[in-house]
Parts: sequence; structure tokens; C-alpha cells
Amino acid sequence: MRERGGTWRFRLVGLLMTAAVTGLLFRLYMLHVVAGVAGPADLARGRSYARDLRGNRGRILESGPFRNTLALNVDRKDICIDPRPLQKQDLVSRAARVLAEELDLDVDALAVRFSRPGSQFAYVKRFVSLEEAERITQLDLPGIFLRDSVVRHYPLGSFLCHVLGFVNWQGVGSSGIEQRLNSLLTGTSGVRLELLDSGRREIPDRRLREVLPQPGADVVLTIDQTVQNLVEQALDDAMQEHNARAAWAVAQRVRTGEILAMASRPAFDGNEFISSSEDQRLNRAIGKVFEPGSVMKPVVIAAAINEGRITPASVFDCENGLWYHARRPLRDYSPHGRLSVTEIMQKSSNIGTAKIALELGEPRLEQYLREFGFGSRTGVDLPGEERGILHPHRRWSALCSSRIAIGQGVATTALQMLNAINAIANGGYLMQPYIVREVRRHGDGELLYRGEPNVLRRPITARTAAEVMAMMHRVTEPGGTGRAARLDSVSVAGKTGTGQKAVDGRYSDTAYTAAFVGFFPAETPEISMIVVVDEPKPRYTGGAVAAPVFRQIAEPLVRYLDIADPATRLARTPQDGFSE
Amino acid sequence: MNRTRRRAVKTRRGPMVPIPFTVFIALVATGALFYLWLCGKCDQLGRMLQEAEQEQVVLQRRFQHESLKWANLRAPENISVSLDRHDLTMGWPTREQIVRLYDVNVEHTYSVVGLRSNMR
Repeated sequence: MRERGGTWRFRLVGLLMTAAVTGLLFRLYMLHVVAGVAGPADLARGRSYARDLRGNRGRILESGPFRNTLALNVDRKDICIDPRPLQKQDLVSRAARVLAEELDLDVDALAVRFSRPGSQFAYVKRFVSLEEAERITQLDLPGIFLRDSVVRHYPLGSFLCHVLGFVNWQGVGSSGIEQRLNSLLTGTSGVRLELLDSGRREIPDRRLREVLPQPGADVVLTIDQTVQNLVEQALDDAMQEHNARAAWAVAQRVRTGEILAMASRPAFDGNEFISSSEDQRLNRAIGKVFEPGSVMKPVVIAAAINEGRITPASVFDCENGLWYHARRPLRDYSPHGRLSVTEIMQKSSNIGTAKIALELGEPRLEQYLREFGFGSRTGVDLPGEERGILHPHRRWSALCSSRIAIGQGVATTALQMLNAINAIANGGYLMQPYIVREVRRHGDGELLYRGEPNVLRRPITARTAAEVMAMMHRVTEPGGTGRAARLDSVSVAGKTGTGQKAVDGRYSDTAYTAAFVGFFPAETPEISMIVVVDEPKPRYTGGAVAAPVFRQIAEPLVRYLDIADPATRLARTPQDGFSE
Repeated sequence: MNRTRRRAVKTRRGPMVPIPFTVFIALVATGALFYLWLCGKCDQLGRMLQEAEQEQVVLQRRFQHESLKWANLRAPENISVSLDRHDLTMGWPTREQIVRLYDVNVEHTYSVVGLRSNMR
């Protein structure tokens, strides 16, 4: 019995030891042959490597029903080269020719780059698509290698370019929302500490440490891509039709102050920002100040009515088109005799409005203008906003108040002007315009920020606002200067403006800024909008140039936003059926 | 008695391995095999992880690609181009052209236009 048991144990031990030794030999084979760790020298070479893990930049989305993506990060490759093998094998000119053909580059520039003595590294082309990079590697040129890179991509090209801005090559937002919300959009990087084998591949089961990256937050704008598209198309048409130097427009929701569209021409493609000029990159809606001309008149008239100095029925002598004040002449576009305040607004009489401003007095005029937001930034969540120019009344000459009343001697941005008119349309409440609807964390969608309506102040009463709205409605009626902005579907209230541009310290007789600012429906405003066309030719008045652009945008906008004219509106409740 | 002693002497002739040593060797061998199994498992899991990471990168790139295509498809300008390509002229409907369906159980007020013509 003992002999048989001993043999059995011996065999078992032998078997186990054979299995263990075989296993260890197999492991050694895997380490030395498959993983390539040949010996102590290779083991020393195999070292830990800290790989940066990039936290992707967040997306920017529009607020329309599609929530379409306006900006996102995409993977690209940098094609790089170590020129030494090319130089050794005398392949510089051939490689330069082949690469130039494949990548649409200048062959001479490449040849110079590849011929630099002692150079170990040069970019051939940066941010190429993965397919293009694959094609280049198949050329099998010596010294060519690829590096991972990421690029900010704007799928719709120049669409909404001034609001979105762009990201520079270091991945930092450099204008627009990309700049303003850079800290939220930028993700936090992670790190992976890897142990590499002699082939510099990560040994799969030897990962030392990993901190995962956090992607940047997604930003949803208040911009609706359909509205934006309507505005951009209309501006493109206006630029072409009127041979204009520039054009810009902003559309805003009256009750909330949220911006539905903001466009400026000329524009640029954010994907190729490097080739754009400063003029193209300027967001004129907030970054360009201009003398608003007659679009300023509703604000001055609202101030005078609010102070009880005039009523819509008050009558002023418009001096048949020529009036001297402080020894300087003031002219109307067409001569008028005695006009009521409503008619002054409708016919855009400079003389009538100047007299109203004098009636109001300089301190009050300045106070109201400041309360309407002139001379200070609106606080919209975009960088590069100008504050405009409004000097304190102590520095005004005797002429100033009569000229400020007609939009000269004061400079505003389009957004400031729109926001002031918006206050009139909103029962006197001045809203803070905003363009960011919400910011959500990528992945779990946690809300980090929500843009909400914010009342800044109330410069005029609801009654004053209603009276001025009624007067502005008359501007688009027959006999008014803004007839071209009239819509078939809903009533429009607004004001035209034609500003003479100052050239070499004098008002030019050839360079004008045509503007129209308005809102609809006139009785219960929902949308307000401003259109400005810079140096249109040959027609140059706000009524002839900007008002038709306003109409071109507003007509489809009314249908898209399903805005009803209060005159034909029916109210229905499920309980009591329909009632007029 | 004598028979028994003779048999015992015979059994001592085979290779003698003490039981504690056998147990020790068995434990070591089992430990070694377990270690090898663990190594293999870690290696396998590491490779799976790497493959999953590579697959994630591929999927992310595909997602990016599809996101781009989708964003372009939904761009109003491209929709217009597509409509033009097929000779389709489309515009936003007027309020009179819209038929509205309401849920009578929902308590809220609607603002509608043109219902009179629809109700006739």
C-alpha cells in the first residue's frame, strides 16, 4: 500500500512541477518573444510614459427644434517629417513634389523645409483629415509620420460666425462665445501612466495610473438657426442689391430680451479664421458704433411724453423744412408746416424732434438716454461689446440736444438701439439681452447655467410706451417713412433712420447709414428687430434700403414663429369653446 | 506476523516522498499555476481594455463624422439647396393653412387664427 501511495505522490509532484515549469517557460516566452522584452537592457529601456488624455471641448448648439450643432471638435492628423532620411537618400525633391501634389501645397516651400541641414522635425501639413493622412502614409516616404491633433470645426462654415467666434491653434477661444465661455467649453485633461515595452507599446496589464479627462460643457444658444438663416440671407441680398460696404441685423424676443438672430456682413469662415481680415471678423451688431439718425427719435419723444412735456397730440411748427438753431441750419428731408407729435414721428421731422428735445431740456434728455442704455454696454454675453458714445450734458454745446434728438452727436451699437426700442415695445421695461440659453455638462446633462430674462430698469411708464408704440405703428402706415416694412400678415411698428457718416470731421453727403428698427405685432409685440446697412448706393435712406430688408426677414419669420395678428386672434379654452 | 514484516520491508524499496513535503510542493505548484492563471487573466483583461479603448476611439470618430453629416443635413441653407436640386419650391405656411389639433384634456388657452374658416 505504501509503495503504491508513494509512487502516486511522486507522479503527482512531478506532474505539478512539470506543469509549473512549463507555465513559467510559456510566460517567459510571452514576455521575451511576443512582448519583445529581450533582456536587462531592454527592460531598462521599457519605461513608464505619461500620456495626456484630452478632454474634448464642448459643443455649441442652436435653440431651434433641431438643436443643430454649430461647433464641435473633430480628430485630425498632423503630417510630420524627419527630413534626415530624405536627405541621406537624396529624395528631397521627389518627396516635396509628391507631397505637394497630394496635399495641394507649394512644392518649393516644402523642398526648402526638407532641405534644412540638421533639421529633425518639420510639419508637412497640419489638421488634415484621417482619410487624407491614411493616403499619405501609403506613399511610404521615408521619415514621414503622423501625430494626433484635434481641430475646432464649424460644420456650417460662416454661419453665425460672429457669435460663435473661433478657437486659435492652441485650442483657446479667441472671439465670440468661444472666448466668453472658454472656461466652460474647455474640458479638463486627464493622464494615463503607462509602462511601455521595448517596442514602445503599452504593456496591457501594466497600466500604472489613469485619471480620466472631463469633456467641456455643451452650450445652447438662444439663436434659432432658421431665424438666423433668414437674417443672413436677407443681409447677403441687401449687400448685393445696394452695393453696401457692410450690413448687420439683430432679432430679439421683446418680453425676454433673448436674441434669436445676430448677423453681420462681411463674414468669415471660422474653419479658416487665419485667412480672414479684422474687418470680416468684426461683429458689427455689438462692436461697431454708428450715429443712429432718426431711429433715435422714438426714444426722445418717449422721454418727453413720460415727463409730461408733450402729448401725442401736441403740435409743433416744423418751419417748412428749414430752421436755424444756435445759428446753425437744421433741415427736414421734405418740408412740413405744423405737425402733431404723431405726425413728426410718422414723417420723421428733424425740426419737430429737435424742438421736442429742447422742450425736454438737456439734463432730462441725458438722463433718459442713459436710462434707455445709451453710453453703457448692454451686458450681452459676448466679448467685444462697445459702450457707444454719449457725453455728459455739461459738455454739450447749445446745438447738441437738438442734434442728439435726431441721432447725431451720439453713437450707439445696433444692439443698444434695438434694446432701447425693445423697452418701448415691452411696456417700458428695459431687458438685458442674452444669447446663452443654457450650459449643460457633457454626459449626464447636468445644468450648469441657465440664461434667464432680467429686467434692468423701467425708464418709461406703460402708458407712455403704449402711446409711442401707437405712433411708431403710424410710421409703417401710408404716409409714413417705413411703409416698405409693412407686412401682409401682422401689423408692424418701427422707425426708419438715415445717418450721415462723419468723414474727415464733417458729415458726408455721399456716405450714409440706413437703418430700420421695429417690432411686430404692433399692438402686442413679440419680436423686435434692427437692420443697418452701411453706405448703400445709390439709394441710401432707411425707408428705401433697410425697411425692405426688415420686411424680407419678418414676413417668413411671422409664419415660422406662428405669430398671430391680435386683430384676428381668437382665444380658445377647452372648457368654453371659442371666443373672439 | 512474519508475513506482515516482510511486506513492510518490500514497501520501503520505492521512492519515498514525505507527505508534508508533497503537500508543500503541491501548494507551491498550485500557487505558481494560480499566479500564471492570474497573469494570463490580467493580460487578457488588459488586452480587452485596450481593444475596448481602441473601439471607443473608432466609435467616437464615427460619431463625430455622423454628427458633422447630420449637422450639415439639417442646415437651412443645405435644405434649400436640396429642395432646389429637386425643383421643389417650399415656404412657411400661413396660419390659415395650418390645421390645429388640440387635446381637450389639457387646460390652457390657445391663440389661433383662421379657426372660423376651418370650423365652417
